[in-house]
Amino acid sequence: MSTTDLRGPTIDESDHASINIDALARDMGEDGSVGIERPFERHPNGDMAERVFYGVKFKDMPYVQVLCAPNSTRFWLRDISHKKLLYVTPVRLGFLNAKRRSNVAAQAAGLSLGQQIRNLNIKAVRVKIDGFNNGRVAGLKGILQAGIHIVSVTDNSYVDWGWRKRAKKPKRRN
Amino acid sequence: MKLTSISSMRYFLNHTAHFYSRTVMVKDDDVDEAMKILNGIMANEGLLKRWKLTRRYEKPTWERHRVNYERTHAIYNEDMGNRIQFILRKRRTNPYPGTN
Repeated sequence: MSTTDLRGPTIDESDHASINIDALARDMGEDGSVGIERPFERHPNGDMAERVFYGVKFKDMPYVQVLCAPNSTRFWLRDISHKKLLYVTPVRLGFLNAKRRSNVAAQAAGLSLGQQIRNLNIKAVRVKIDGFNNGRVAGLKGILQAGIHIVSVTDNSYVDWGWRKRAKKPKRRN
Repeated sequence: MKLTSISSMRYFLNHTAHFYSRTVMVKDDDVDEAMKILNGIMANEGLLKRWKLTRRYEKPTWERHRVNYERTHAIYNEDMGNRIQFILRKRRTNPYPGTN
């Protein structure tokens, strides 16, 4: 597997000339200057997919899927075809039983993931989060500690408006 | 709307434009600020509240109690807001009535 498959085409690679020229053209200024810094936009608009971040288009960037479960915070790195590249949990790093639900465990797992991402020659990632727990922010900080840039944060947590599957019995009220 | 089948929901989730809705761009790796905005979006849209409610099954009696409480709370808040607005109303001829 080549590095281009993992992190998407960069603008300085010759084997993707047509894509790269197109990507450069989209990021050109009105006066024709290349590599211009666009004004920062907090929320993505229609042409965000074609914008270039750290040399890779937004749509070609691999993403980190974070599952914030009540017992642990788990991380996947996936490419644009949703294929699993990496998987990290706090349990694999030695956080057992109740320790794995702490935010320290989440940060350690994020750091481990970031270091493994760096080995794949990936500079920047998008992040997709599912759920709410302690490690929601701490996990992302771990990724940043390893020197990986985070371009965007998406909340993908599943919200149910009808009992699709009846949830667990509530805890006893005394 | 009640979605009956899981597969239809999966199809919907897989074919929507990901990384566009509920998405916040990060500036200079400042994740704290981005997450603050994102949590604010989830809370303001009422998704966080609904997410919390659906972790455990809510019995119909408890749901009734909650809804009734919310209803009375809203009525009280509206009434009290009107009263405060009435007392704090502006553009009077005498700016301090009752003090002459």
